[in-house]
Amino acid sequence: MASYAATLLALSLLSLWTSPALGDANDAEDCCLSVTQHPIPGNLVRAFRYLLIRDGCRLPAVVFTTLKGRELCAPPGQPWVERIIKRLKRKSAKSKHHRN
Amino acid sequence: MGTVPAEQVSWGPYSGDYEEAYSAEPLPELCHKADVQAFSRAFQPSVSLTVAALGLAGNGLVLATHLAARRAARSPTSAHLLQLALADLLLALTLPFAAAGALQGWSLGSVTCRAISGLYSASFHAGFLFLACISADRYVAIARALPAGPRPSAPGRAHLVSVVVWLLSLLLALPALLFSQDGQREGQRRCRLIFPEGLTQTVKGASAVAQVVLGFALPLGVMAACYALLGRTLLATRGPERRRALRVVVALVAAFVILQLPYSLALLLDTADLLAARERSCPASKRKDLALLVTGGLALARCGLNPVLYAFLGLRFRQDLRRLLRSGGCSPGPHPRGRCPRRPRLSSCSAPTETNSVSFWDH
Repeated sequence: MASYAATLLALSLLSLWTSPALGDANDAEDCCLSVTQHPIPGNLVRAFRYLLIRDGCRLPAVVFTTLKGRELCAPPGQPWVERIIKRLKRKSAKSKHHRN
Repeated sequence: MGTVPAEQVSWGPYSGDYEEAYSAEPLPELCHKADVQAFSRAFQPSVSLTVAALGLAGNGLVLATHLAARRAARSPTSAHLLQLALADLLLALTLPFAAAGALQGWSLGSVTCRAISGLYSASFHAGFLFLACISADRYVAIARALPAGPRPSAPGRAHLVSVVVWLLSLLLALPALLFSQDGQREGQRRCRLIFPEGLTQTVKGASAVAQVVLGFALPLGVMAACYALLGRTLLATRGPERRRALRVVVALVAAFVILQLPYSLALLLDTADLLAARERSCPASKRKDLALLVTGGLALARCGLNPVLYAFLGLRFRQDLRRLLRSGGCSPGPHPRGRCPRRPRLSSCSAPTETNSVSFWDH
C-alpha cells in the first residue's frame, strides 16, 4: 500500500494544470508551430494574415500565402517581414484604386 | 543557401520552380487541423451533453434526497458529499453552454463567457478538493473507532473546511474569471482562456505552479495517503463488512486513476511543451490535441460518475432514497404531523459508539 501511495504521489508531482478549459481551450486551432528564420522572397507572396496569441495560437506568426498556395510562417516584427507586408498592402490599395 | 541564381527568377510561370528550389530547406508551414477540429466538433458536445445529463440527474438526486430527508448533515463525510454533489451540479450546469459554444459559436457575450468559465473552473477544482476531504473524513472516522483514536471534532469543523475549499477553488478559478474572452476566429466567436500577451513568463509560471500544487498535488496526495492508510487499517481488521469496504476503496481509487490521471499526464506533456517553448511537428501536434480531447472527456465523466461512486454506494443514501421514492417526498402518508419517519437506526456516524465497519459506509 505504501509503495502504491508513493507511486500516486510521484504521478501527482509530475502532473500539472488539472482543469480542462471550457469549450476546450485546446481548440486544435490552425496555428504556426514554428517560424522561418530565413527571409522569404517577397515576390512569391500573394497574401498575408496574422495568427496571434489572441487567435488562440501559442506562437504569434505572420502567415504568407505563396503563389502556389503554400502557407509559410514568418516571425512578426522582423524588418523583412514588415517590408513584405507593406508591399502587399500597397499592392492591394493600388488594385482597389484601379477598380474604382 | 545555394539558391542565389534561382532568386533572380522573379515572377510569372517560373515562380513555381523557384518555390521548389527554395523549399529544399524545409520551411515552417501553417499546421492545418481540420480533421481534429471535425472530430472535436462531434466529440466535445456529445461528451458535454452526456455528462451534463448524468451529472444533473445524479447530483440533483443526491441533493433532493438530502433536502427531502430534512436532516442537517450529521457527519463531516455527509457534509462534504453534499458539497461534492453541489460542485458537480454546478459543473454540469455549465456544460450545455460549452456544448452550444462548440456547436454554433459563443453568442452570449464576454461577461457570460467569464462567469461561465469561472464557474466551470471553480466547480471542477472544488469537486477535486472535496474528494480529498471525503477521503480524509473516512480515514478519521476509521481511526476514531480504534481504541486509541482521536476525539470527535467539533461539528462546525466540516463547514469551515467547506468554506475554505470554496475560497481556494475561487482562487484557482481566477485565471478563468479574469482572462476568459469572447474572441472571433474565422467567423465564429469562441469563449476561451487566453493569457494577455503582456503577462510575463514569471506570472504564467507562478500560476501554473499554484494550479499544480493546490489544484492537483494537494488533493491527490491527501487522497492517496488517506486511502492507503485506510486500506492498511481495513486489511488488519476482521469482519463481514471488511470485504465490501475494501472493494469500494479499490473502486474509488481505480475510477480516479482511470478517469483523471490520463488527462493530467496529457496536460503535463502539453505544459512542458509550453514552458520549454518546444516545437513539434504538425502530425505530433495533432496527436497531442487528440489525446487532450479524449482524456479531457474522461476527466469530465468523473463529475457524472461521482454520485454513483460516492453517494449511491452509501447505505444511508440508499435508505433515504428508498424512503423518498416510497413516500413521494414525505408529505402524504400515515406519518404523524407529516414529518419524515425516522430511519431505523442501524448505526449513526455521529454516535461515538459507532463501529468502524458500518460507519465507513453510512453517510
